[in-house]
Amino acid sequence: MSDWAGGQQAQIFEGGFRPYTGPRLPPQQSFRSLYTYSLGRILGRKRRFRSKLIGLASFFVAWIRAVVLIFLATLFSELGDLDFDTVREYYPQAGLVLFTVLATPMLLNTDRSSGLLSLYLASPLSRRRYLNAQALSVFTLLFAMALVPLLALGIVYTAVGSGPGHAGDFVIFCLRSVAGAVSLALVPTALAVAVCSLVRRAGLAIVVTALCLLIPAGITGLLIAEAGVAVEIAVLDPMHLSQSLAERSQALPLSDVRGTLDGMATWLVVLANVAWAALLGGVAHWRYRRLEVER
Amino acid sequence: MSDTETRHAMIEVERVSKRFGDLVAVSDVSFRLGAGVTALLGPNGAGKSTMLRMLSGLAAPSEGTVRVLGSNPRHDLGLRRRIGLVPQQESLFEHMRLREFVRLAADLSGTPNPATATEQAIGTVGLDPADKRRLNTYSKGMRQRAKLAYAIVCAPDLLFLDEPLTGLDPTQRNLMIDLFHRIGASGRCVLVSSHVLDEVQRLGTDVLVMGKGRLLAEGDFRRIRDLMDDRPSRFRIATDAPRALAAGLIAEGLAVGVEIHEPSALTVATASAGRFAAAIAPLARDRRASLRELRPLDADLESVFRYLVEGS
Repeated sequence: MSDWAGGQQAQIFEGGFRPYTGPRLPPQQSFRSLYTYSLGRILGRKRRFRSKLIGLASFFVAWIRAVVLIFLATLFSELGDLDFDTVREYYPQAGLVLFTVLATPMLLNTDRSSGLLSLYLASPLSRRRYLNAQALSVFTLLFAMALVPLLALGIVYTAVGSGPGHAGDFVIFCLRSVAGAVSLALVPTALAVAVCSLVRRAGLAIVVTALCLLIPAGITGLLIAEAGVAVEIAVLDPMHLSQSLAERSQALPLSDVRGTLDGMATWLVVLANVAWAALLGGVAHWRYRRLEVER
Repeated sequence: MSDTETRHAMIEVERVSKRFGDLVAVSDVSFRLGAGVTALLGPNGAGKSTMLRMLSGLAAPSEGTVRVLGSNPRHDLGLRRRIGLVPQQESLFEHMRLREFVRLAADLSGTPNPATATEQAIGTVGLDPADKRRLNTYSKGMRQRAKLAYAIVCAPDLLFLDEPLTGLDPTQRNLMIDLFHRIGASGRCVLVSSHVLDEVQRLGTDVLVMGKGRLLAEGDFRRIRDLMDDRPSRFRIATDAPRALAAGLIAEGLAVGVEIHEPSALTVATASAGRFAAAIAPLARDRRASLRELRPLDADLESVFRYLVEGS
C-alpha cells in the first residue's frame, strides 16, 4: 500500500529492461543450435521456395532412381528374383556432387559476405565449433542422401523376397550401407568446406568446388586408361576415392566395381580417404583460425 | 583519474594495437570502463568498429591485452554469453523473420527459456513478436531495433553497439537512447559507437574519443574540455557595459583575448574556464556592469571533438 502521508520516496519497479541473473546453458548449446539451424537453412526450412531448390533438386537427383526401383520391385516382384546387387551398387553420385557443390558455399560463404559470421563468432561459438557445426550439417545431409535410398531399397527388396535371406545378413547389409554412406559423405564435405574457407565469394566457391571434384577425376582417369599410369595415381582423385571406398564397404566383387580404382589396394583407398579428409579439414581450420572478421 | 576509471572496471584495454597488413587500425589504446553508458566517438575510419570487434572477441589484438569481466573475450566462450553485439551492417539477416532472427541469438547464447526471452527482447525494442514479414522488408529503423533485440535477448552484462542510431527517426532515436540508459542504469556496461555528435551528446557525458586509430581522450567531455589548456575557452557575455567589463577582465588576467560586440555583448577567450567562472560575477559588480547572459561557446561536445580530431 502506498504510504502517501509518510512522504515515501518514489520508486520505479519496472523500467522495461529486465536483466537476467539466472543460470545459462553451457557453450555446447551454441554448437547444437547452429547445427540444427544450418540443417534447416540448407533445406530451405521457413524460406521461400527458391531457397528450397538446392535441397529438393539434389535429393531428387539422388533418390529418383531408388524410387523407380522401389516402384518396380513392388509391382513386378512376382516375375522373379530381383538382383540385390542393384541395391548394393546404389551410389547417388550426381546428387551428392550437386549438393556438395551448392550447399556448402550457401552456408559458409554467405555467412562471411553477409556479416552473419560476426554474430555467430560473437556468440559462445569458437571458430572451430562454428566450422565443425557447419561441416557436420553438410555431412549429415550428404550421409542421409546416400544412406536412405540404400536402406529403403534393402527393406523393399527383402520384403519381396529378393534381399538378404537372414536377419543377420540384413543387419550386415545395413552396417555396410552406413559405412558406405560415411565414405561417400566424408571427403566431399571436407573438400567443400576447405574450398569455401579459402574462397570468399559463393559463386567462385561453387565453381572451384566443382572443378576440384571433376578435374582430378577426369585427369587421373585419362592417365590410367590412356597413358598406362599406375592406378595409385587415383589417390589424387577425391571423388572416386570416396566412391571406391563405399563400393568396397559393400564387399562387392572388385571385378564388378565400376571406375578405375579396381587395382588399388583397399588399405590404400582407406588411407587416402582419411588423409584427404584430415588434410582438407586441417586447411579449413587453419584458414578460419586466421580469418579476420571484417564486417 | 576519470570517472570511468574510478568505477569498477568491466572492460580493461591495455596498450592495444591492431594491424591489418600495413594498415594500423588501432594504435596503443588503453582505457577502462565500468557500468553505464559510454559513447565511443570518432570520425569514420577512427578504429571504433575494430575496437568493438576486439572487445567482443571477434578480432585478436596484434599487441596488448583486452580483458572483459576479467577474461579474454577471444578465448572465453562462457564470457561471450554475457556480451551483446549490435554490428553496423544490415544485410546479415535479410531472409529471416524477426522472431527467427532473435530466437537464433537466444539459442546460440544458451538462454534457458529462449521462446520467452525472444518475446521479451522484441517487446523491449518496441517491435511486434507476431510480425511475419521478412526482415528485408523492414525499414532501416526497424532493422536497427531488430539487431538490438538480437543483442539483448541473452540479457548481456555488456552491450556493444556499432552505430546503432543510424537511420532512426527522432522518436525512435529517443526511445533507443532511453533504452540504453535503462540498460546502463541496471548495472550493465553499454558502449555505443557513433560519429554523429548530436547522438553522442544525448547518450551522456562519458566518452571515448578515437581518431586515426588512437584514443584521443576519455571521460566526461566537459572535463576533457577543461583539460585543453592550449585551447582558450570562449564565452559570450551580454552586458550593458562591455568595454568596462573587457578592461577588467584583461586587467585581472582572466582573458587572453576579448572581442567587443557593441553595444551590449563581448566574446572572451580565457585560459582558465574555472577561474573565469568564479571571478566574473564579482568583477562585474566591481565594474558596475550587469550580466544578462554568460554562455560558453565551445564547451559542448562538438567543440571538444573538433579540437581533438583536428589536432590529432
